[in-house]
Amino acid sequence: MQEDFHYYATYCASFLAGFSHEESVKIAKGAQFVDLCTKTLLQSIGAPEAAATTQLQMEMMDAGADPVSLQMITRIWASFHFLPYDLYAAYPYRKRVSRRYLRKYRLICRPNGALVADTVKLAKGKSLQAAGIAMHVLADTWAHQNFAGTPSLVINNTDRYFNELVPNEENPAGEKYARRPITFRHALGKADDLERSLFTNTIYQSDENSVMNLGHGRAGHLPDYSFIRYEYQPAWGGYEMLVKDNPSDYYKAFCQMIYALRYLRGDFPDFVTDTYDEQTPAPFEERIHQILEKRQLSASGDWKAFGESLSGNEVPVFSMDAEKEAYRAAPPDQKDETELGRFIVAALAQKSMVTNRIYTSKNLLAGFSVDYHSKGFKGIREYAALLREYRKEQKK
Amino acid sequence: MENLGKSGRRAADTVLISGMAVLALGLWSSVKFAVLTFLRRQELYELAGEMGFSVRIIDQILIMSIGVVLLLPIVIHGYIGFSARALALDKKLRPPFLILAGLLLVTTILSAGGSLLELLIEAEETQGVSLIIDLSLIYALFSLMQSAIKLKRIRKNQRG
Repeated sequence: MQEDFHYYATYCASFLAGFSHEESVKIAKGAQFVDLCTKTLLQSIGAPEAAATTQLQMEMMDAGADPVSLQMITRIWASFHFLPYDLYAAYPYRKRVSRRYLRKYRLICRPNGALVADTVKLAKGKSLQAAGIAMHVLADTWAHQNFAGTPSLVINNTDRYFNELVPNEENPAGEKYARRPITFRHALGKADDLERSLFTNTIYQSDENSVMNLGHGRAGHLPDYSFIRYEYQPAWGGYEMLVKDNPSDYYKAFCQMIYALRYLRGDFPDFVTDTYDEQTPAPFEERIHQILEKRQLSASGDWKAFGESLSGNEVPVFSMDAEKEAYRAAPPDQKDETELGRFIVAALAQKSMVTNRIYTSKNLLAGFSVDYHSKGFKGIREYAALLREYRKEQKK
Repeated sequence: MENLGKSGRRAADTVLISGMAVLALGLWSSVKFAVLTFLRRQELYELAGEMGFSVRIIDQILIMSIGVVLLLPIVIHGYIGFSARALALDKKLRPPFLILAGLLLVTTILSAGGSLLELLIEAEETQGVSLIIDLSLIYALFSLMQSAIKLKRIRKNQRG
């Protein structure tokens, strides 16, 4: 997903869930910042690099294809953008597959996995920024489903069987949607041409572990457009075609975010997957569907207008400059209490949790992990912040 | 874009990949012939000497014949490989390439048999590599022909 959903739609969901305007802005900022918090940015403000929630293209180009680099890439992308659905899944298209293949297959992202519940519950009782991170992760499980947050040609590749499904205006009595072939081109500077179905994707690289094969790169930006419906043949799918209905998925993501945020506010005793709050947004359903189905590169304007109509307040344009300055200026022992500091601690917690789950499922694609709760602190110095938070909670 | 169904897409992919394998293995045949001829040219010189030809003339004949023979596998394998690609991508097809693929399959089986005999009877270890390549080519041609027939049948059923 992109800024229109992660920032503005999350603001709308937060407000509908009962948060105030100011709280909703903080949650939305936390959600959007997940797409901007790179190692380079963290270095520039003197923050721990281990809290990176995304990577610049240049950072990924610099990363090698050795096991340690691949683990570092997987840790980031699987924790924040491609949350694995089932770490113990069996491969359904063949009786025997190699362990190496199975480990990658098990990192495929889908909504309503056990890790989504863990992610939301991890944010319970924590900062608004933690709630924002959880909403980003939850929303991405809907948009990025069927791709894995690890570089893998055999999982993430797509091919010539890629069609957009457009309303069948020529024969309304026939099939509901007509197929329009999608053409991918490698023109990084050019915007996607929605009229001619010309989209940019990553270049085909036959190397299994190339970063070009990370996530949904081979499908371009299509998963992040709320209006599009398409069918394609995923590399892992045993030659079956998959249909992706983004308008429907995005609406479910929105309803699930409201439910999750209401849980975090204390309206519900538990967060259960495959549960959606459809009642709260019901009065606005038509307007939301109009926004989601409008064929445009970014729906930020529409979501912003919707949010402002809900709250009566202006939704500020996204910026973290003030928060970065406050973090830089804060004394070392108070950095964790700043807004950016809270985001960083929450990001470390999320990354640590997901990496630990992947590791305990006997999958080393995200590297080694130590359960600091039970084993005490061992490892990267930045993660000591998590232990300090844990001890604070224990004292409460 | 045609809607082939699961087995149709699988067949199309097999045709495409097998076609590329046939093309690549054609290059091997050419390279193998060129290298063997250069390595064994001393025997040819001795034979030429007995027949009264000069070494220079033998060299010229060798170079010309290598040029022709090098091209032949490339042309045949290339024709099969690119035709397979056209079939897989539902583009305009050249005249039946499956017949040529069948002939190539027969000759490769015979060649593999010869390599096996030389390996077993005369203990020519270098024939082991030839045998492996020939077996790979047999597999590629067989997959290609099987999947091409299946794909044609699926398309025919679809188009009525």
